[in-house]
Amino acid sequence: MNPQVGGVAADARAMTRWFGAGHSTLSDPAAAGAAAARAAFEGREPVLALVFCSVGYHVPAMLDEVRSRVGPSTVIAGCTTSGQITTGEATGEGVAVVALGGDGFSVRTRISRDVTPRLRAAGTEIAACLAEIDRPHRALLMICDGLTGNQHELVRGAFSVVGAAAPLVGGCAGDDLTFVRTYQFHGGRDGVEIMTDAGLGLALGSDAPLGVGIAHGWRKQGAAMVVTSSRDGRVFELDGEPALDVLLRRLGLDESILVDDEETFRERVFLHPLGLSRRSGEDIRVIHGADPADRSLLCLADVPQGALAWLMESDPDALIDGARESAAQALDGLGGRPAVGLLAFDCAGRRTVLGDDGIQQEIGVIGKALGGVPYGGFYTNGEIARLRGALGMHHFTLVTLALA
Amino acid sequence: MNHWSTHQLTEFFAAVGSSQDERSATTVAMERASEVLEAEVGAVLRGGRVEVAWGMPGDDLDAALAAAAGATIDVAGLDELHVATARFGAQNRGDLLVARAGEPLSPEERQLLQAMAQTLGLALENITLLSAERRQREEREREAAERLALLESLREARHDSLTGLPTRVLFLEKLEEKVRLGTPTSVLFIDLDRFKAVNDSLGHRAGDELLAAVADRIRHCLRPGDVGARLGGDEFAVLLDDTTTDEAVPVARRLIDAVRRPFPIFGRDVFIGASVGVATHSDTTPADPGDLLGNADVAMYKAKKESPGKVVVFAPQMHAEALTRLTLTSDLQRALEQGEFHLQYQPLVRLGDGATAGVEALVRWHRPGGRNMAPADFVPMAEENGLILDIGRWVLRTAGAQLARWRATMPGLHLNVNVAGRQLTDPSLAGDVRRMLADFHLPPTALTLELTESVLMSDPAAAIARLTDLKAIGVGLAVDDFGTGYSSLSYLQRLPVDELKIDQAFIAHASPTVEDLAVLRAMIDLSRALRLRTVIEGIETEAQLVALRRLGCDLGQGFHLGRPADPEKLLTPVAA
Repeated sequence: MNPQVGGVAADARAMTRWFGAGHSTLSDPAAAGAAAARAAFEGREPVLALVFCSVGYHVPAMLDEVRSRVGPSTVIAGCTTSGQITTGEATGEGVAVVALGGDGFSVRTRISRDVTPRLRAAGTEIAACLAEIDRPHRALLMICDGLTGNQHELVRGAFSVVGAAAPLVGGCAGDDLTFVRTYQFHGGRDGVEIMTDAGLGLALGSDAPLGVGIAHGWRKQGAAMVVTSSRDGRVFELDGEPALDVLLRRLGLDESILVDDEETFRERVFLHPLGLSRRSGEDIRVIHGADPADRSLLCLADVPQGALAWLMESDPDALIDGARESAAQALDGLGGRPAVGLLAFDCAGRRTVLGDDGIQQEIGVIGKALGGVPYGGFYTNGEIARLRGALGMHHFTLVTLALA
Repeated sequence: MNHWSTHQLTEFFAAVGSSQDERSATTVAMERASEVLEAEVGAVLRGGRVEVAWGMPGDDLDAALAAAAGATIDVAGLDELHVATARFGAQNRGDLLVARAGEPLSPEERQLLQAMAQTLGLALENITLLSAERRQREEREREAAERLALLESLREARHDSLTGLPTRVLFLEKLEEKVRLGTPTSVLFIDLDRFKAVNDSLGHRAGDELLAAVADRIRHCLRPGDVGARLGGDEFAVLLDDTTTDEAVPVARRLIDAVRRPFPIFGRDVFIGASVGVATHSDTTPADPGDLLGNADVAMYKAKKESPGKVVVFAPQMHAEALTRLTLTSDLQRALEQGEFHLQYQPLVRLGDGATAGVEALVRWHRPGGRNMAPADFVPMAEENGLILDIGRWVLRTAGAQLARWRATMPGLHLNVNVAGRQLTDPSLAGDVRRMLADFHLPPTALTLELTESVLMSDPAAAIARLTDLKAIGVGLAVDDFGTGYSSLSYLQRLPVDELKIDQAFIAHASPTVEDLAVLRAMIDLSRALRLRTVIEGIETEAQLVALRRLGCDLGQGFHLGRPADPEKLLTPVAA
């Protein structure tokens, strides 16, 4: 433990590695926290307890119940979400506790606060904890505020410290897609800090392999367009034409929909994100709104000027195939060792597109791929994964981390 | 459709091209190239050494590259990495490097890396050019700012910041223009009267307000072609375009009248005056603007000396007088050191019984070559240059010592000593008096200090304060030359004085006329009403003596009663 940096260390005592996930949709925060923690821990002392919950809860009361069930060196971390995933369950409202413990797991942490104006530096700060892990298999879990603007800079900052030797995995906190404020949690048995505009680095060390999966399931629709004018996440022009005009024409929508039925407009464009041309596929950018004043499109992450972009389309089958693909990649990464569990960072946009039935199918294929191994995670505002190459920020994607 | 790799180039170009400095351009290029090519490691090398890297530490990459046999490197914790580099830059050479696990770069990817490197090279050149341009621009802007500041300071040097009027520099330039044209041009040199008193009593801020207000009044008296200027302190000058001396004098009078009107300063009316010297340029006078202004200055000085509030037109002989003044100043400075001053004493006689009540000490200047000078000829100059303080101190001690000697045989003898206006404002005066009395064991009542009416009335409030200090010592105070100034009776009543010395002008006739007597009686009655001792100066005939004795005047002084004399000569009559 290094008190100077607020890190919390946790080494489990002589016990085989385990992974547990529990959830509750009880409306009482204390009862929900207690139920989810009980199901995840099953009386064991976790090294790491991840808590994901929807924004409606009175978080301190919920966390008190989780704290009362952990050991003195357990790390508690987590965030608010746009939905929770646990073995066989996917919910909008509720609390999920995902825990791991036993011999051969280590966790070290770093927090960075007020990250928005200094994302790159914050990324380097939270990545520093990985150097404290001395186990053969390592990964940096990242949980950060999902409303900081360009989260990619934070991920770049982390990669500049971690380098290519260890993977980056994680997701950005959500608030049920209301885009107002997200919260991050960090602490232990004696107290958990509830923050906003923060980044959390969780260095995970294991004696057994860790596997990462990244997949989405979108495909190109129609002809490519050049982003002729953009700034950060705002696209002004596609092929030299106002971006909103292009979008409405491509989707066969009338201008009036912006005024009369904004809800329908948002749903339609949600199903047609932009895909940016990349070596191994397309990088997805969710369009979450339009500004009729300057005819621009608003995306959740930066769309570089000069990029070649397609309108993307998908269907439930393709998205569910993506889930299967992601889980399979993660399990492949274990080098033949059996998995004890899987962490999932699934895009909130995928959940919206798939709908409740689709989501059940999605977790069904994940469960099938895992064959009874527990899993858990949350619906994110941006997914973080770097296994190959240097790119670590993704959208409309399902990122998975399998633990052997 | 093109290969995916070409799609990336415009993005890359936009990102690298927007970098503001070399460091960020190389870093962005390294990051984007490795992200685009899905390479685990990216770096920029200069001179064969890693300058910036990510994906692995730069030092490790240097070591791995040095150890590499072929196109791959081995790095702990990673699979074998395929290295690809592309050169950039002409003058600012370097290599853009990526290292990727799995597959080596395809030909298209190598081409893309080359294009990215060239883009980086262009961006770096651009940044070099732009920063050179920026430096140049900053340099130009700095120079422009300096020039502006210089112009501003020149303008300031040519305009007085307090009044907004031109300064001496600009005034002389304008004057030179006029003089060159050959038209008659008059210069007025204006000096304010009593400005110093305002500054001293109301403070410098009031003084500044007053100067600004004076400048406004001067401006209002001028025509468009005329120029007003502030030369410094309380001195102003005016250039009257195409104006002869005869035309200039009425303008000067109007200026004086304008300045005499009260100035409302900080809620009270302030009264000052002005003295003006006039000099005119014509075909026959020198054309140098500095000389012309100097002539007006000399004339102003004469005006001030003769009587403040006057207009004096320059005449050539004034230069000679000015020269005399200069000589006088330096001679005065020597006089004290050389012991050229001495004192004479004139008796003050009790008119009731003819007894000598006291003496008035009068300073005399024995100049080398045997010439004697009366106080009227050098005291004003000594007041002007401040020497009066040293002279006054010398007079006080010398007369005090003499009085002490006399009082050994004539214990009741009193001494009157004149105090100049400048001395009255000297804070050390009271201390000097006290010390003198103590050193010569004289009672304070033996000494009376005489102050002229004009000194007391120029700033009665300050005078009352000073006189009160002196009064506290216990010495007597006299108003000298009473009736020649314009005493405010209300102030007279409040002044802590003991004695009025009626000026000899009131007994101009050898035998006083009925009118003379009426005036004298009124003054003596006034004096009595104020419980003051009365002294009449300048008694030169028996008739005057008889008349004044009859009017009840207390003491008299004059040739008829005793001329000023050296102390040793005065000893016998006094002793008698």
